[in-house]
Amino acid sequence: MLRLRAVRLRAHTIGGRFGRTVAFGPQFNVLRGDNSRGKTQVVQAVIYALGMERMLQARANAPLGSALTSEIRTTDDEQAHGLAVVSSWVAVELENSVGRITTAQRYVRHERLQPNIVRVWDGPALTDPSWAGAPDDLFLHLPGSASRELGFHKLLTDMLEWSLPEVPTYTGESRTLYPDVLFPFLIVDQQSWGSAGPRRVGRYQIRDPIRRSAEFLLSLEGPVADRRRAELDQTLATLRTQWAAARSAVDTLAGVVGGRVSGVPQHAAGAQARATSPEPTRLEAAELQLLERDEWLSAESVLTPLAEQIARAHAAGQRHVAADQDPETVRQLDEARSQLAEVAAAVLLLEQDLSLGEAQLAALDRRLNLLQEERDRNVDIRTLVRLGSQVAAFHLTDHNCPTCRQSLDPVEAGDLGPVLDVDETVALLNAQVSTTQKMRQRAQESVTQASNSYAAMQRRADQLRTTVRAFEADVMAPPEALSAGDIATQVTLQLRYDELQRTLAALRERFDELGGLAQQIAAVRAELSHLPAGTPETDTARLSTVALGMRQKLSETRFDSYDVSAVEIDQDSLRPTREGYDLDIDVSASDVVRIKVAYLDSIRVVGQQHGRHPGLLILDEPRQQDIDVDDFAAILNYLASSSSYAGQTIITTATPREQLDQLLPSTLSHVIDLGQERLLQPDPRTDPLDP
Amino acid sequence: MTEISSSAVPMHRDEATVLHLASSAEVVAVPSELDIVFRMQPKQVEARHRVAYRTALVVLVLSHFNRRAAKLTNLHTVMWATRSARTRRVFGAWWNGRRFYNASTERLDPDLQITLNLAIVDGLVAPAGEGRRVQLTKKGIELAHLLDGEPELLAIEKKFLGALEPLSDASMDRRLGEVQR
Repeated sequence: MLRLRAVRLRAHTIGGRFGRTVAFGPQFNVLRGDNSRGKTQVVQAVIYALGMERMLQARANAPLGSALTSEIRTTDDEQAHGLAVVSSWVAVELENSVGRITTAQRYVRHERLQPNIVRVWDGPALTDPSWAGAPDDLFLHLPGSASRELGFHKLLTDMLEWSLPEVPTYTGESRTLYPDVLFPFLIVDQQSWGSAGPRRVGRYQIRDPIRRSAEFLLSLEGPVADRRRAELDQTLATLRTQWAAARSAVDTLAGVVGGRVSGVPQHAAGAQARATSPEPTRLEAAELQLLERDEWLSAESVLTPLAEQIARAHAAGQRHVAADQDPETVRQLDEARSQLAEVAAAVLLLEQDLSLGEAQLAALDRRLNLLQEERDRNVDIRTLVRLGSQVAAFHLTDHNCPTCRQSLDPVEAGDLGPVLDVDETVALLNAQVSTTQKMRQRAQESVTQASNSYAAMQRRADQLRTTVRAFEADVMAPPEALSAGDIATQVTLQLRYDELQRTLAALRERFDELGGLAQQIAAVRAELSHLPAGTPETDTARLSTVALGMRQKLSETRFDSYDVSAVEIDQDSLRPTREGYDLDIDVSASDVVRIKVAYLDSIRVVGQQHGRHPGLLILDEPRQQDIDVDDFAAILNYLASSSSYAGQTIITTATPREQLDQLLPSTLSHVIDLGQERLLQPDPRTDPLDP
Repeated sequence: MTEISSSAVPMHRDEATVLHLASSAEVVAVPSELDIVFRMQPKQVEARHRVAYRTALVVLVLSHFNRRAAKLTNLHTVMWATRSARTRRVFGAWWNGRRFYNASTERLDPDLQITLNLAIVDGLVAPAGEGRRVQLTKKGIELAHLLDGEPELLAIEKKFLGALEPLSDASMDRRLGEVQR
């Protein structure tokens, strides 16, 4: 459970201090105020103080208005003028299910305190000033902010008793489901009423972020099996890569001695998706084979005659050259020349392969440098924003034009259309760097292999040249001289024998390694095939309850775009849906609001009972789409009813007070009325939370 | 609709169908019930178009110039030179005299004007010399010191500019050989 007890906004201007504290009741709260009085600022302050502004994709900066970022408009002697803001902050006081109360304060603007620092008091520092002692400084929006002890989102998830799961990303890796992906189910900002589902936070490259968030908040069991399946698939992918690398090494070793390996399949049993529970691949039959007289023979069967040949050559000693071009010597010379021609042709082909591989490697290096430079520049931009605030270069910090206060987004984006913000760009570039590095690694392996084969073939060609030269010398030599060809043959046979022995020893080690990998792959596949398939019954029942609750609430609010029974929960995205239609554009704007509120409240009710939903629901101006008064009353009624057992609701509205009093359920509501006042009022007192 | 084998990350059923159709060797008709939705994906903006990067770069470049001031034409050329490894290499060659006698060494940075406008309004840079030159203000010099204090920050740009020193309007005219600048 999470309850928002109070929120405070403070601004120090050149003309004095301004501020406002809004305290909330434990159940159903309505924050009322005329238009442009600052209701939205209160919701945005909660989002900012909790470090959740990254859920608002459109703007990566502080989502707060000019009263906290640049100047406060005030009227003196009927003359309106602006007071420049020197420093400003917002703070929230939170309470969890075991009564732990925490106050978090975050500066919007300050000469020393950066926006990524959150000052935390372990008590009700907003509602009880005696608690405002020395705070702890926690960090935000830096690596580890949701996992390290000094990370603010770690503190927040501890308060919520959330253990954030790992979820799959578009790049195939997994990453933590960050709180700012989940919070669109808890807080609906004013700009997000155009969609029937919660905001989709795409910055972390998480695949189906809305589905993952709903699964987490509803504690669905299917995703546990899915996550395990994803982990096992990842392990299998790693094992497949290791198998491919080991097999490639085996081929290279065999290639060096001009042989091939048989009995090692391309893929181990169980590595392919169609496999069920296979026996591990057995490698007893794996062996090195060599081409002898146009026939592939096992290395062992080649080694025995080779040893005999060496023994015979030693026993015979060196023969003397026969007179007048001995036909046997001429035959041996022709054979050696023919072999040399074949090897030379193969060397030429290998050389071409190698050149192509090296060119590809150079191209990948250039691409990698380019991507890394671009990523470094984007990372630098984060630091530049911080440095900009230190010298009061405001357009660097707040990203607004210093003259007209408009956002500088269009200046950067030009006519590109929607663009990624800096953090999203860094994430994208990191993914691209990672992909390019993997491609480079593979290209490097390929070049290394081609280079090894090239070297081996060159060596073989050198040996053959030596033999050819020796026999040529024999043909030209005077009679009775020792045969150079015989000596060369003896040396070549011995070298070949030693080389084969070394290769066989190396291959035996590789075969052992492959055997171990085969065992692991089969074990992973067996576990995968035993994981439950389909959606567990408990999940189906829970989602049906959400859908039922949503339809019931829709009926109460006179949803009239079509039959309420057609509105379902989509089994793929877990968003509200109507089969074959896009709800965001296919129903009226007011019906989109009706569906959204009903959906989020149903998720809240079911998630609070069976899942991890903290019960908090904040809705900023749901009535902006001109929902009929009676229907708005129905929405207020069911929200008030849910709040009595499922958690706190805060809703903002500009509905006139008299009308609101008639609409609200009498006993359950806590109304905070700003009236016609601006949110920030002069408040000269020193605040206990000021540094 | 053809059944698709389940993968680790459950796909939207239409996504799975589209992938299956794409990988199929046969030419088959697209099922009429298939719901294909095209969404506009956000695009990446190059860092050199980001206002924060550009403003910092203007300040960094000017801080390397003699008296922290430069002619607009020279600022355009140096800003262009910092753009990529290729432009740095080309400019480095000009700087060291390796160029054809008739090669034009003037370059434009299209985003410079708006960057300067923002920097001027924010008090980092001020116009000088009847508007043909710009110079760093006290605040701009302060930011330049902060940039220098972070060695990792804009490291490639700093290394490039460091190799050009002494950098001034006069040295640019001398090295790039265009006295009419």
